[in-house]
Amino acid sequence: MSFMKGISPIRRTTNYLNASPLVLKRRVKILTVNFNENEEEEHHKGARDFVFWNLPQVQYKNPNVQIVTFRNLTPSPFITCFLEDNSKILFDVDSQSNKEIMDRLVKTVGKSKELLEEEALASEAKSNPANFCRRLGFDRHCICEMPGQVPCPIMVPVPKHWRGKWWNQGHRYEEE
Amino acid sequence: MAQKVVAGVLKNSILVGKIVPSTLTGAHKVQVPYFVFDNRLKAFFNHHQEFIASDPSNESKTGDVVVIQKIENMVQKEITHFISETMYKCGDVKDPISGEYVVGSRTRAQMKEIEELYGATGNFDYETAPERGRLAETQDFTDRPVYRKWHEFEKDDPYGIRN
Repeated sequence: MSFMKGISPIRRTTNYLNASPLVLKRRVKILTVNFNENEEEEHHKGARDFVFWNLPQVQYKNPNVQIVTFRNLTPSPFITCFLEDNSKILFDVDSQSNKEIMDRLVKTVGKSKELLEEEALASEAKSNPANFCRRLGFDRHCICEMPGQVPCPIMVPVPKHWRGKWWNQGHRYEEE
Repeated sequence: MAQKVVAGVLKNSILVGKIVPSTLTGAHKVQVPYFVFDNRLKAFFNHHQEFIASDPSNESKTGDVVVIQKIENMVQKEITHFISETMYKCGDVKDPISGEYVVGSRTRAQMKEIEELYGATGNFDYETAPERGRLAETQDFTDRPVYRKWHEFEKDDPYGIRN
């Protein structure tokens, strides 16, 4: 860990950010958390802890979900999830701990563990750096651009006797 | 020259934002907060993006927290969204769970009870007070953006402030 400055810098490690089980379902577009900052309001403590410890994890795992916090607006804490069809889901998190809130969110609006494992497998195949084809998003367009490999036939014609066309047309039997 | 990458969040069909003062007529400027991840510091930083949204119901004012939705067939190039829902009205926040009007960590009913217990008189009465907007041009200058003024003109512009 470097640059580990600030309060609880463990929150700023990739391992910690990746450790959240909450990957929101695709239809959830906005997540808002309403809570109060006053330490004396114990029923908000769970929501406060959720925002402090778990919100960076949730945003890291869901970069395309807008996460907004509202402080000191209402007497009771709650979380709202806005779905893409303009409906919303309200979670009343009064007096719940941040772990309970997290479990509840995973159960209601999170992708299941099996689905996440399937997606991880599918994405591994897609993101294999050994693949070629820039059009499909990989880094290299052809093996001809790697040093030590046969150069691109556009630039340097391939020896005739390496070509299948030459071989199969019978030129290998010709005497030079 | 590196092109500025627009955060993926801002391309969503719905967004939450706050209406900020603007000189637009017929539309509102909505400030949308979003987090951007810094790869080196491994932390999220708050950024804001302003969108111009039309208001079909004509009820929203500056300071309201609204949900804006992307317009599919844009009539004007600048107006990209429309206000689909008002989450919290400025000054009249309604708790979605209990349905009561609240002020910070208390409901209006609780505040009134405390006032009565203390015997306070002449306090602001939410029930009898008129809708927000009564003092729009006279004492409430939140509809248009303010600027710092450096000279005293004959005609005092209330939107120029000295601090």
